[in-house]
Amino acid sequence: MKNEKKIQLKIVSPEKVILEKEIYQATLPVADGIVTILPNHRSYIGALKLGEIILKNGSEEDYLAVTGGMVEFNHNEMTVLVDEAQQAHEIDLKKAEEARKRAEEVMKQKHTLSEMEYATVTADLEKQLLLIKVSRRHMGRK
Amino acid sequence: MASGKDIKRRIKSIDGTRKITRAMEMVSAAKMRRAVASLLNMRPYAHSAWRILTNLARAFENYKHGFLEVREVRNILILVVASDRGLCGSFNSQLYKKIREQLQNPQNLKVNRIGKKRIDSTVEDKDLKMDFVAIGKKGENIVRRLKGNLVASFPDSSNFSEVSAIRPILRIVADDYLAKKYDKVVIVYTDYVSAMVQQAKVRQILPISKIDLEKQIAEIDVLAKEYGLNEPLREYKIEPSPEEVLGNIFPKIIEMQILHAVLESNASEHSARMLAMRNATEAAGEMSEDLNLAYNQLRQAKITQEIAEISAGSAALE
Repeated sequence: MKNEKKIQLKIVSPEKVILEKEIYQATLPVADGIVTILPNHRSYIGALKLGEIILKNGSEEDYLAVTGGMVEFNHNEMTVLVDEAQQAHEIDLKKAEEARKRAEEVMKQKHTLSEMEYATVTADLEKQLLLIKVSRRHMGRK
Repeated sequence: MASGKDIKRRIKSIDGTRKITRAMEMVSAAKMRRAVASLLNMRPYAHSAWRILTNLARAFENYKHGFLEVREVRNILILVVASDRGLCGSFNSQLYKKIREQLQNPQNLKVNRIGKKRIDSTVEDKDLKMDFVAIGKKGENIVRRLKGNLVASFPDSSNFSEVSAIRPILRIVADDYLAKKYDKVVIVYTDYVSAMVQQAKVRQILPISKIDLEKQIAEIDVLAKEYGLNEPLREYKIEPSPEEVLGNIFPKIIEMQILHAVLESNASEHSARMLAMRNATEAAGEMSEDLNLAYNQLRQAKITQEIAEISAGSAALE
């Protein structure tokens, strides 16, 4: 029987199912800010932006970095569609730091970049910063 | 007649080829399994995307968005999903044939429709402008053979199993459609029906059409049929607004369609190659057998002749 006090969560990307578990609370980065959903929340559809998903289940917490997507919540079933998501413990902090430095270097040469390149690099920098943030927070907990 | 030595050499070379084709067959079989698995991995995503879209259906009806705009077809963009390498039987030539068929008789290409809305183009066949985007190295060749105008080429289609790799293609497709450079975007790919059967297919990507979308999602996920757009709506709170969420989900849907086509094409390519290599292995086996027979016959004839000579020689001595 389904536990009415919990949320059945599924995080999927086009490549695979990233996470499937039962949680008590989910905090999501939606377009207008941050939304926390508890069990028995009303049905909800929202657009996600780049940010951090925080999942709580008792004392257990999970952090995920996402690059945007969509969320649907209905009858305690939550589906999160993402382009890309990394769980905190999967993030390679060193790699992210390196990528951030690279992106910052490129940004310094702003005048040589076309508008498109600049946008791409900015997006990449934002993503790397987020990865670093999520990863750090996760490490602080341990 | 070839000497025994020549035949021996040919047998050896054919046996060598046979070993290679057999190895290639096995590699293709493994790759095919992986490609099919990644197709299956798309299912949960497709399923959920479809459900969200379904629940937004009410907003869908009166919604105005560049992707839903139906225009008279003057300029078409055709995405061709082919393989990178050859040796895969008729895989690429089937695609070529399919596209040529469409170009010679562009009735289907000229119609633009979303659901009931349908606009026939009044443009003459010869005035229809077509541009191509090739995915996979052989895609370039196909477009060149068709004397088509290639606007972009993405070689190395086997790397396109990730969403991030699709994004540059999506950008061309979406931006050019919104800029009204093209009035219709279609994708030509090879649908993986089974390990034995693959079919070249043409699908409309833009404008977003419920019928085409429904068909393709049904292919990805059989269960999705249950979520027809007529399902009664639940009361959803939609944030920030249905328009924005739809604007957000459309590029994802297009991305999913392209990714799906590429994955289908990958699976088809590998199974086509597997079949071609199996045929080649069998043919090499038969050829090697025939040559072996010829060699043995020749050898037998030689021995018989030698014995005859010896016995003739000894008879002359007596």
